[in-house]
Amino acid sequence: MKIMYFCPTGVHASVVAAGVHLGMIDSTGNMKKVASLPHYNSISPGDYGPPIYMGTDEMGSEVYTLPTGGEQAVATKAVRSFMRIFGLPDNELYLVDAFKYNNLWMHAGILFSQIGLRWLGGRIFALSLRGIMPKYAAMAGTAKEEIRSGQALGMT
Amino acid sequence: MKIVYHCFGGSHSSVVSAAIHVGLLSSSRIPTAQELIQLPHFDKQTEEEHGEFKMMGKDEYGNEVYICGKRKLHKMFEPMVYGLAKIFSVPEEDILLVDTLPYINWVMMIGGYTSRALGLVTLGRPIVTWATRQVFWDFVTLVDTVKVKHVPRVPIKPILRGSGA
Repeated sequence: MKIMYFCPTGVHASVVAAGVHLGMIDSTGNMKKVASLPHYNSISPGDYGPPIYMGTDEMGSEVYTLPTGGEQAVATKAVRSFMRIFGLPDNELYLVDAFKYNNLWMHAGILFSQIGLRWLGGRIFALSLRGIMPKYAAMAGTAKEEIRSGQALGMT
Repeated sequence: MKIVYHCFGGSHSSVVSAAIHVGLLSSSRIPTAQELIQLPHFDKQTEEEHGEFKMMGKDEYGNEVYICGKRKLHKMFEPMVYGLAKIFSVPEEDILLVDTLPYINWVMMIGGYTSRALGLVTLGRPIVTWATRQVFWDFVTLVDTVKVKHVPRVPIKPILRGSGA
């Protein structure tokens, strides 16, 4: 089983969600811990593309992040379609929208990072997580629960 | 091998390239407007279908040819799909992605946008069809390059019939 958390950049919300899933950070949303997550805020816009491996969880599932730009529906459809043409079963992959709790500050953080002010953008994004980190913990918890109970249909 | 021609909306340049590849269009003459319009998926895809890999047919070597509308995934599309292939242990030589966007012209874009995005098919379709015919040879060159450089040309094995009974 592979789990992919997706967000527009693949290095912000999805890294945070994957980090929570893998137990790299807790739900307090400590800015320093968020900023120290592997791959967090690490890629410039021109390099967005391949899924990034974040680690393997306690159930043996590989956890990835996936950048989708502003085309989440198209990207997830392409992923599913890719699996279909290669005969890969749908339940081999669990896709999770890590950007569903987005707020204005998240957008601002991403924007700053994309215009070259990466350090500032990363900090603003990390600050934007305050108050919503429990939602990320719940998101990861739901993903694990569904996978464990075999209910995962592959999309949230 | 699976060959995926991709463009913005999966309706024009990718469809024409894939059609040439699988032989739905002749590569020795410019198709008529009617021939283009009759192609599967030509100027027909809707927004809901974007991202789906749609099969156009098989080429003479048995390779499956697909089209895909990637919308604004632009340069993210190929690394994403090749990355997926790696993750799912799909051999590198089993998939080839071909971007057809560099071969379109402004008139195709305007016609395609008018027909697909604005929904003004009566106005946009003749424009995009005319413009596609203007750059048809560019698509032929692209497909030739793909076939010569990248596609394994292993002939399909003939079916051997048993001599018994």
